[in-house]
Amino acid sequence: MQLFINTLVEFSLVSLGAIWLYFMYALVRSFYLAIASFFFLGGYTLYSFFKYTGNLFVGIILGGLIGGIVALLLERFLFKPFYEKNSSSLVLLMVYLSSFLFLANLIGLIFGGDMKFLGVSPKVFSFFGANVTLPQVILIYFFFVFLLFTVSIYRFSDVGLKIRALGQDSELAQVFGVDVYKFRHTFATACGFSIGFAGAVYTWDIGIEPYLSFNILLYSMVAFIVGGINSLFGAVAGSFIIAFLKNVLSLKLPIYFVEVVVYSILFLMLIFRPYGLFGGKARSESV
Amino acid sequence: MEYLITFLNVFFIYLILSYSANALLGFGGIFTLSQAGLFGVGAYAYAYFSVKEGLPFVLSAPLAVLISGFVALVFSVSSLRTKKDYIVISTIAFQIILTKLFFSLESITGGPYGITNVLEPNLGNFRVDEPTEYLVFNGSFALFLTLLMKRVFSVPFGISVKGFREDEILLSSYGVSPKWIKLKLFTFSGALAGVAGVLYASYAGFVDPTSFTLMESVFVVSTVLVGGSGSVAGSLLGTIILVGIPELLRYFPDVGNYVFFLRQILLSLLIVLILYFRPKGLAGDYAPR
Repeated sequence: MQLFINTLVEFSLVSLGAIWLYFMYALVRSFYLAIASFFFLGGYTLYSFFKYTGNLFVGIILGGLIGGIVALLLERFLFKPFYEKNSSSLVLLMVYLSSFLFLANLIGLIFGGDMKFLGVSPKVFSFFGANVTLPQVILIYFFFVFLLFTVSIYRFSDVGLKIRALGQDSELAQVFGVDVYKFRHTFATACGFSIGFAGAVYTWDIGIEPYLSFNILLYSMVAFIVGGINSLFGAVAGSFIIAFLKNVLSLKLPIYFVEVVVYSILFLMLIFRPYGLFGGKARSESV
Repeated sequence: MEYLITFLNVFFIYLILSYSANALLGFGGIFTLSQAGLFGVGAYAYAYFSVKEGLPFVLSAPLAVLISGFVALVFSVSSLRTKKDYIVISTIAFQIILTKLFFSLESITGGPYGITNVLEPNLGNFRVDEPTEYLVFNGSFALFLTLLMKRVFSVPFGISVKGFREDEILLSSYGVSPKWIKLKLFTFSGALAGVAGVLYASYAGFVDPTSFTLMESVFVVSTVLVGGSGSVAGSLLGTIILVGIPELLRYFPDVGNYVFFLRQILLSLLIVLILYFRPKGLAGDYAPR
């Protein structure tokens, strides 16, 4: 049962990142590594706010808000000039990575590079013999509400149709009046908020350190690619596979070997099935 | 003076690493983030053969270079089927796999503690153990590899590589196999990284996994992006800027304690500015795309 709970918690976190990687890939055609920044910004916002006010829940919401604001600012002032230059996906990837490096080290300069803890032990529940903390429960609930909301919007709304249109052919979608910059800004802000929120909750549970969020993002990226970069279902399914595999293998293997296995799966997938388990072959060839 | 010698030794090692990245990214147009992993393969191979197997420098160093070249070749064979956008992701995965293997294969790499007491280069009766001797030793390798880089990328092979970078299909229509170019480039790049690894391991006297992480690969690629892709002078300039400026910061007492963070901040700012205003780099020949 503990295996199930651990898998569920990890699945929620990894899937959140993978879903946002999917949406942002559809919009910018590159791997949106800036997501890692929003996670630790949310965490450090909570850490700072809690230190001075002792208010946990406002701090978590504020973490999300700061993540959203920073995401919007990055999109508007840093990434947009590169979009306007029609920069390649690799150049964009380096810009996203650089934004992460800049913010991570700025945070390191201010707070130091060591792991930060809130100093408050979260409530622990016992569920059929397995332990789960309150932050983990919040994270799971948040993720499933987010997933429900996302699938509804994506499948049944005009916004979802436009996202799919942008993902297929952004130039043609713009010709038909879809404002790609507005979509990018809106989605980036929503991404920043939800990832920042998750980062704040994670900080409450475990603690935070800037490069920790990059490790989590890498798992999301593995899940996103393994699942299929042009499939929302693939992003979720890939996350479950990775979370399950990681937790099962952790029972038998040391952590470093578990990570070797996970990244080897990514490596093999890129060679033999780059469109992922649930992605469409013809679509990926056009990419 | 001692500090300057230390700086120059570090500079020469990073210059060779920058050449290995430039060979792939600048000349070959292949975006890679696995140079630190191959650097580590060379360093660990040399440390293992010299410390655990007791081989002399003249055997352990070439073996280490061959092994890192071979590892790069194996990776390149697997990447032949990988499309352009995915190659960088596969290099990231490859880099992480190598780093985790450095941590986990304790019997070979010493695990998180690494390998200590790595032997200094020993060429018969001549042993390199003074800082000035290392300076001459590392500097000689750097000079030789600078000339080799200029030579390799000016003869027909280098022209084929540039053709590969610009248009693979056109290149193959001239009867030159892009696959072979890719394999040779990766092997050459891997071997260069291996040389840097050997020099690093022998100079530092120890190797540990934290020196060969993804962020180190980002730093190496940045020397190419900033200095200039596709030119030897670009690697030289990029290494001078990105290794030199953080070292200068150490002279400021209040700033010196935060050199690591400031270095990364400077790096990220430079990457963004260069990619926007001067995509070819300060002295480059090719804009990554």
